[in-house]
Amino acid sequence: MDWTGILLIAVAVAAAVVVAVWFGASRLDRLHRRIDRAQAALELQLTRRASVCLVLARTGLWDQSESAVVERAARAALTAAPPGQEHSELSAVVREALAGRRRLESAREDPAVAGLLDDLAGVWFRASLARRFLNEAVGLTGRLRSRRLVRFFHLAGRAPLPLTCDIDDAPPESWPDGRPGPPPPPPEANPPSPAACPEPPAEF
Amino acid sequence: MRIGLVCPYSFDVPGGVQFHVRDLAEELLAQGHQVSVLAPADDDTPLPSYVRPAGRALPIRYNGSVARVNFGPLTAHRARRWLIEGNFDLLHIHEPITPSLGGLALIYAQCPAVATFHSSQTASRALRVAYPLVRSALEKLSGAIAVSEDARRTVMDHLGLDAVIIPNGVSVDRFALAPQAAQWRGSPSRPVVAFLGRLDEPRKGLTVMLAALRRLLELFPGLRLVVAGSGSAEEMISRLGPEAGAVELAGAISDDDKAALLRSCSVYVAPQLGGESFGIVLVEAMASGAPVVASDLPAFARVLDQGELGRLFAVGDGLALARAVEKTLTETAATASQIDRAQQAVRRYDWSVVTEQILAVYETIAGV
Repeated sequence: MDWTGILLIAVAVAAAVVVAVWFGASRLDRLHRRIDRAQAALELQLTRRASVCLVLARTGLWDQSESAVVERAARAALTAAPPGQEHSELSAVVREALAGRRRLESAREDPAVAGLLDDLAGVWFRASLARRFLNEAVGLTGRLRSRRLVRFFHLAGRAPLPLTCDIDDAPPESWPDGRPGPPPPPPEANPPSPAACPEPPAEF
Repeated sequence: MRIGLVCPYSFDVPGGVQFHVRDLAEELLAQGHQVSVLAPADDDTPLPSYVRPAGRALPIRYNGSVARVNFGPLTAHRARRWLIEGNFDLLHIHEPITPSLGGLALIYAQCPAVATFHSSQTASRALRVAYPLVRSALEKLSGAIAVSEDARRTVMDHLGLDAVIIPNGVSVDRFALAPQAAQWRGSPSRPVVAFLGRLDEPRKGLTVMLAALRRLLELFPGLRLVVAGSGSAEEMISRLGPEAGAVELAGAISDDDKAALLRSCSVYVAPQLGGESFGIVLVEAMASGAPVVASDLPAFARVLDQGELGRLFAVGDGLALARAVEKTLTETAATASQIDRAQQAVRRYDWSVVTEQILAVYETIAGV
């Protein structure tokens, strides 16, 4: 093969490498930006969760000593930077404090407390979503960064290897699915059964 | 929020994904969000005002049924223009794996995106083939939703993605409060068995239902089988012999008629053979107060809480189906308590609950 042929092949190989590197770098850049967004979202939701806990601790939902424990945990979570195990601690404390289901039902008679409990369920769910979304992005990034091409060309630059967040955010047991939405309806709020409708019920 | 929804299947053909997207769009609009839906459709198809047609759809076979999808430079151009004009805070793509609008929209999207995966099982082959092509586009998704545990498993196994389970929504009260229809009302001497689903689609299991008919007529000579759904079943029924007289073909029925049929019948039977990832009609039947008899598919078993909320029978087994219907019609006390529990349980599929959860995903991803 003459020199022109070799040169052509070399140029083609170089071009292919450049395209692969460019493609890899843009994927990685996109994932890193996604992680930044996911981290910001997680911090936002965790902060909100701690704030709602703090307000709940001052409503009289719990007795004085329980309120103090929740308030202390919420304050610790709010001042922790970056968010860490203080939030796991807060989850555990609030789970414990919300364990008595019967007392919760009587507390819901106060509309302000009921509203705050709904807010807490909503923001708790969002925090756990945010954590899952972050961990997903971290996992994808880790897989991409372990590729030979990415390592050889140092495509990740000096960006530190992102870490998953392992905060314990298991919801209190008394929430049916650990999710927002209406609590299980009390008997009188049920949809009317067929028999309660004006038409004669279907018979078997 | 300004939300862009992408539906890969044409709106003029009924289907689970289309209904889900339509209902979600209307729920979000009712809550004051700005919503636009990009879906395949001819320019002259009458569409709701919030749907932007993306051009003519081509029929392809997918997941055992024919889906109409589109792909190509014109579609790409329209998807791009829709994204620019919509200036969305968030893009929500349904079934992003189908070689269709979803993938295109994802490629051009500048805003955060979330996807809902609807299908399971048979679709997995399509997933495996498509995966290398869409992998880098899928990395743009900030979050994934699966409509059921089965759909989630499919996404995990074939795409390696985690997905949050948020079920399909149902307007529970629309079914719970629907008026009954006299022509479909069952009685002890003339019980009415309801079947719903496209008739010419083998996986909907009409053949299993018909195979059970002889035994059912021995037990309940006055029994009527009401078959509702589009497609032709004349040939299947003409092969039945004397039992054919018990079959009534209702054809493709409206949503209101579907609710009326479920409210009136003595038992709803879901004899599907596979390819089901959720089982929305089961939830609709439960909301209507109809006892449910369903084949023991993982998705159906989950919706029926492993047989607590209805009766399950071995997939494809006509005699087992007949036994389950017999129990439903004769053990009235047990059936009544199942109906009670089912009507409680379906509340979690109500659109009010489901929309709340989907909005939680939107807000988490958009960081608001």
